[in-house]
Amino acid sequence: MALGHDPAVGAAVSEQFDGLDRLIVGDKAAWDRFVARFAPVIFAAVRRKLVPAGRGEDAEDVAQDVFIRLCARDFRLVRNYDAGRAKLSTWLTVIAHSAAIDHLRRQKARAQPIESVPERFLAVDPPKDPVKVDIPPGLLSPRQALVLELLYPREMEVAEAAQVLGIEPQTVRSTHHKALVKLRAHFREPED
Amino acid sequence: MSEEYGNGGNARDGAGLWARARPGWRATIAPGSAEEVPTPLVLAAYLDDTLDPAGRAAVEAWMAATPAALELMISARADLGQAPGAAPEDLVSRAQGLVRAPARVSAGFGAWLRGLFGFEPEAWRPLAWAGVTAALLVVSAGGFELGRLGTERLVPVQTAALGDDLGLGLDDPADDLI
Repeated sequence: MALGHDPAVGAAVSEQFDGLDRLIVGDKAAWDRFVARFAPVIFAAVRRKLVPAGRGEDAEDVAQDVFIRLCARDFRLVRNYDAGRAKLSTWLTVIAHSAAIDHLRRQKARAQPIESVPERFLAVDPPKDPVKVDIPPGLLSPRQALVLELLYPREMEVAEAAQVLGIEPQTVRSTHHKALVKLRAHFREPED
Repeated sequence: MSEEYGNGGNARDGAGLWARARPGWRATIAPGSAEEVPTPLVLAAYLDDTLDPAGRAAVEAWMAATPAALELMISARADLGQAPGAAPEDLVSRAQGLVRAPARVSAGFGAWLRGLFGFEPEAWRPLAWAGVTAALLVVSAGGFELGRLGTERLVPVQTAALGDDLGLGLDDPADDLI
């Protein structure tokens, strides 16, 4: 995905870690400093994802997997990092969370081998005809859809949704209102 | 469910409308555009608010269309700004061990060379191999000559491939990095 970044803000988000250029050529001292500095960030991110799922004991192994990924293929991930676009800790947090989610998915898939499931539970119900609701492309913007997703299925408060999106709570409210106006018009329901 | 949305946004109506619209909206996301998986760097840039509006819209489309993606971003956002605490020492040492230091010439031999000639041991490597090769050729030639003269039957020195078998204390090849 080729996406631009705002150059006005880019320069401000660089973090103080001056060893990445040496790290990617295999400098042991630079790698050790990197691990010492960012292991707490990675471990905390992994642990916060795994503990609520009852897999807290896997946190060290998953965190180690993150470091293995960072080393893999001649530090390819680290070579693709751009300090002008995002903080190193934010980038590592995203990678750590992704690794934790992958781990939970694999654990869930392994939890019950299909051979152990009685056959009567494996019967597949005939598919029901889905209720088709045509939504024209562009009816809702991605942000409008996202606000509705956070407020309704996820039952977030406005402040929580605002934090996830990095916007003001009032923006959440106005986005929500505009989205509902569009949907009501589409489904031809009277406005309140 | 809170009714704090204002502007006539009744929560139950909104939930019902979105429940009806959601499958159709997701179907409008064209493959290869908004649902293309962003890189970790792009996602981090979104969280750090350094993306331009088009970039933000693309990430938000991906989040809205993919429940797992939204879950990832919600949990990552919640982590930012929180103090991480300490990592286990075992983890740190295991992770640091993923990258090994290259093998070096033994300190004693190297130090002796540096003290004697002021050169780094590595600079001597090609000269050292040349010297070994020359020595072997001399020994080989001498052995054949003695044999030719018939003074004693000597087995010529085998000019086998050179390696650490000679034990010159030269650098071992650097260990492969993982």
